[in-house]
Amino acid sequence: MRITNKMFYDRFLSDMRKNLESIFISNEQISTGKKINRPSDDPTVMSRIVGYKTQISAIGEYKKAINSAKSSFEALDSSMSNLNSALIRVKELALQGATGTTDPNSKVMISKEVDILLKTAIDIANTKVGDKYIFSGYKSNIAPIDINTGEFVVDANIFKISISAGAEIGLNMPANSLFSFARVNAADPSNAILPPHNRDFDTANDPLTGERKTPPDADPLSALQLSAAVADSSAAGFTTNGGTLTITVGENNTTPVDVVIAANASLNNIRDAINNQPGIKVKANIVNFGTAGSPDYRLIIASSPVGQSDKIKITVTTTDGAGAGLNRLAYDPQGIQNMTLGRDRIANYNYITDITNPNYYSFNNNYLNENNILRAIHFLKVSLEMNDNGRIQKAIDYIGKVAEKVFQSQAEVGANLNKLQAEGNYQDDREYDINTYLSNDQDADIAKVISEMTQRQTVLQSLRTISSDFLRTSLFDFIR
Amino acid sequence: MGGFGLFDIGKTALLMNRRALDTIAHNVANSATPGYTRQDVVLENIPTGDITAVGTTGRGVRITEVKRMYDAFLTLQLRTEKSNLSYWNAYEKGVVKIENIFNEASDTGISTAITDFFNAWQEVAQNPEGYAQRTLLIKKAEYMSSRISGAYTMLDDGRTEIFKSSQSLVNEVNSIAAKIAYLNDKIAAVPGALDLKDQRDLLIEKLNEIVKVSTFEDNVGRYSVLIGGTPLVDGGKTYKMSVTTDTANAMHFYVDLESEVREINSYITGGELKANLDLRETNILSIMNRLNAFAIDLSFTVNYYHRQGYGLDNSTGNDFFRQLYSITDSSPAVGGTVAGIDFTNISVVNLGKMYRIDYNTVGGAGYQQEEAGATDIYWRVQESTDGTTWTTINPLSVTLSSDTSTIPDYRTLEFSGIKIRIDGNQSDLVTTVTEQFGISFNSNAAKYMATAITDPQKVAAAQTDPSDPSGGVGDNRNARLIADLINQRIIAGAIPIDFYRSMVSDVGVDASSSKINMKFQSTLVEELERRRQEVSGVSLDEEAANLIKYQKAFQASAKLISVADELLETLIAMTGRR
Repeated sequence: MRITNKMFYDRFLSDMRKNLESIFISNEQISTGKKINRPSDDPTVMSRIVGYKTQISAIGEYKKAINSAKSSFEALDSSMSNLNSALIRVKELALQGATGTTDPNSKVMISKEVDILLKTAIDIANTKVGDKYIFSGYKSNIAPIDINTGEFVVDANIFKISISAGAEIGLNMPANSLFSFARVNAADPSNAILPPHNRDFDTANDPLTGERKTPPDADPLSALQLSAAVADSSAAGFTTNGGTLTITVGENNTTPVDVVIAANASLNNIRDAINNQPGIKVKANIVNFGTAGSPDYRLIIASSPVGQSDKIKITVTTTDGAGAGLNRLAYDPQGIQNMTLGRDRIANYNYITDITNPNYYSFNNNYLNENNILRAIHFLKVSLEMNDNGRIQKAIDYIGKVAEKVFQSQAEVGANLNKLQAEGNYQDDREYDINTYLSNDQDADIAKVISEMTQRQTVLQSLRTISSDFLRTSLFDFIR
Repeated sequence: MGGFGLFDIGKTALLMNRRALDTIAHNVANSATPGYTRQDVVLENIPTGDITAVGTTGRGVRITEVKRMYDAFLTLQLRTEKSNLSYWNAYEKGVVKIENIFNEASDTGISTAITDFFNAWQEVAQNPEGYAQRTLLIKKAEYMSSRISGAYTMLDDGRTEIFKSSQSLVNEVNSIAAKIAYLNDKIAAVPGALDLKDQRDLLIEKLNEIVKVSTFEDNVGRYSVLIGGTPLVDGGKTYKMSVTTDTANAMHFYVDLESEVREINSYITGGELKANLDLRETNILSIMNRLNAFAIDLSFTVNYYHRQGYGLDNSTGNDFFRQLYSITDSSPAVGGTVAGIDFTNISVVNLGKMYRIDYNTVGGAGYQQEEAGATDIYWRVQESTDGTTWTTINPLSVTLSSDTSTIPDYRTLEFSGIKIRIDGNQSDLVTTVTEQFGISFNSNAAKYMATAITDPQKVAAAQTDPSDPSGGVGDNRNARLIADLINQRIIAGAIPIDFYRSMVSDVGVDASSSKINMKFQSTLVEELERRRQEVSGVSLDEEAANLIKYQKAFQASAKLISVADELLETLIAMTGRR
């Protein structure tokens, strides 16, 4: 083989270039810490790396979702705890009220505390985490329970988020599954949730009577009502012979006021007679409890000033038949009660007194079920006010059932929290694993790279030394 | 032979050895000249001196030729391989540029932008009431769009660059061709012009690096240079090469043959121009098409779902991304609606074309019947490039399939690499009797990818109107639906990240294989170069040895003359004494 000078130069240059190139690559790997620095370094691995990165990013997103779910569930959990302690207190009060030795006045006092707990339950239902009402549906910016009517006023959609591929979790607990319900027909008072606040008293005048619909004591449950309904309040003949109503208000019997009712008077005439009587301490009203099509006019007599309706006493002197005519207006808190206190009218609860009735313990009658904490508490409150031991007993049952449901829901929340914890741990593990794969594929083995680089440097060094020595001389150097 | 014979022999020896020394000097002087071929004198003894009974004596030495130490086969091989090397060199440089656009090794790759976009939807799903999340989503969408359109623009610029570089290369080809033609004439006139031949070989080598050519030599030593059969240089004559782009921005090379201007794209088989052609018209174009498909499919799908959702301001029917396609429906309120556009074969999709789909209930030429169902519906697809002349696509190349098991029914029409899904119950279509859908695309779709929404309130996270009793600001169903698109096969039958991954992977494979080819080719060329040097290269040691050899011979020849002089002197002195 003939060897020429350029062959040496070329070989030297190409070898040096190769060495420098591999040192350059090693240098890049050391400075970036990665062995794959561009797709062409290893296209398949690169594709895997993109896949891993996508997965890691998705896991990061799922972890975020899990964390926000956790905070929601923690809020639900503490709400449940609060609700639970409120219900425990309600039950205590119910038991206290059920004791035979508790007198009616004390029961009224107890009912006041029950009322406060009712408000607490409503507050809990309207708990907000961040900007969201956790017991609302998609309308998360609106409080789920109307604090006046106790009605569930939002939608019942479950707000779901994904916490892993294919797994989702609902973050809210619409209040209709625990606290209250949405009325089928908001205009229909018969399915009101908290009746005292719920009567349809508007401020307009009654077109038939020309009177304001709102009675002086706006709470019809505490006013006296004529339990029998009249289809036409202006029709004459409510009373046949007329007579005298002797009305007193309060236990100390303020001066009795006599109201003389003419014979053949209509309900409207009676109202006017009462209202026009000087010195009278009550105010009478006619309210249509029915509809325009099927009117249901009732006389409502409330104390004026308000607040003492339950202490009104009406003694009737008439020759009308017993239990008919004017006699229907007799009322004595301790005696005859031909008129009723409005709060006695809790028929909407569909209260079943017959213990043998299969529906006695059913909560499905008229929404009195375990999903309706507010009504259950309210039922107790009214029962206490009414001093009705039978209903108080039933209320205790209801509250028990409701508390059970709350326990159940709380257990569910706890289970969900556990699930989230487990899912979070799983995502952490997966993230770790994928990071490991990523590192295996992507990260340079620095020790190995450095040792390779040192090796290359040694080769380069000797190449330089030898080549420069060799290339420097030729035969010409020896010609003299 | 007389007594002066010795003078003669000495004279030839002096002259020839001097010539030999000149050649050595020329070799030494050009030992580093590229393309230089070592020259060597071929000496020959001059016979037919005195013929005596015991033999003949010679008459000295002469030079028969000065030879180029040249291996024609090796030169040809080297030329070819250098042309290949130059191809891979240019190709590798090109794909590395593309690769840098899609470098996913860094943490700021496009794939991150894509996953970030879907993650942002996920965030909105987690907090549909939040303005911050909605604003972030819009920002992420803008960023993703800008990355995709940025990549597309860079590729587009790359194509422009390549065209410019091709233009200057073509100029160089023309100038080299002119020089070769000039040298051809010179060589024909002076047959022994060895150094001119070296220069011409070097030029052909250079030319080969730009574009692969074949050569043959005529009887007077002139080279004809051909690009795949099309002459570029014919003796002293050159034909001008040129490059232009057509209306579709495709690059074409021509050679002006006087009789015709011949397009030579298909004849270019090697060299930098071939690399430019491959990169510009195949490689980059295919990636641009894929980006277009990505942009169109993603914006179509996201828009389709987004239009069905509701924003916080109760608005609905808004597009999330700018429309990169235009869809018309002759009766939008009734009949069917275009519910899906997907690309089944990106390599055959022509975004410059417009399509028109219509149906009727009676059929006709160019129509085909929809499968199943109680009533007959016939479909037809037409295409056009200008929107005025429409040609019907042969029903045999339109795949029509229908599904009546869903509500509403849908059918898909697959043609020219595009798959269109049209939703609508068969009964509704029959009632509508006939309807026409027009579909056209933005041919630079990826470049124009952008978000259409600027108001965070309009991000349609809800599936029902928030003002509706069953809806609310916390409705996140639509956002979840869109966020989940990251796992759906919405881009040419692949999930978005996989589609992008395969693109990156292809770019990587291309870059990696071209690097390997480049290395292999350069090793091959080095090896051939070494073998050429073995034959044609100058070895200084060898030249030094020869220098001494001819110097000594020269000195000896001079001595011969002096000896001959002495001999004559002796004879003359003897005569003079008489």
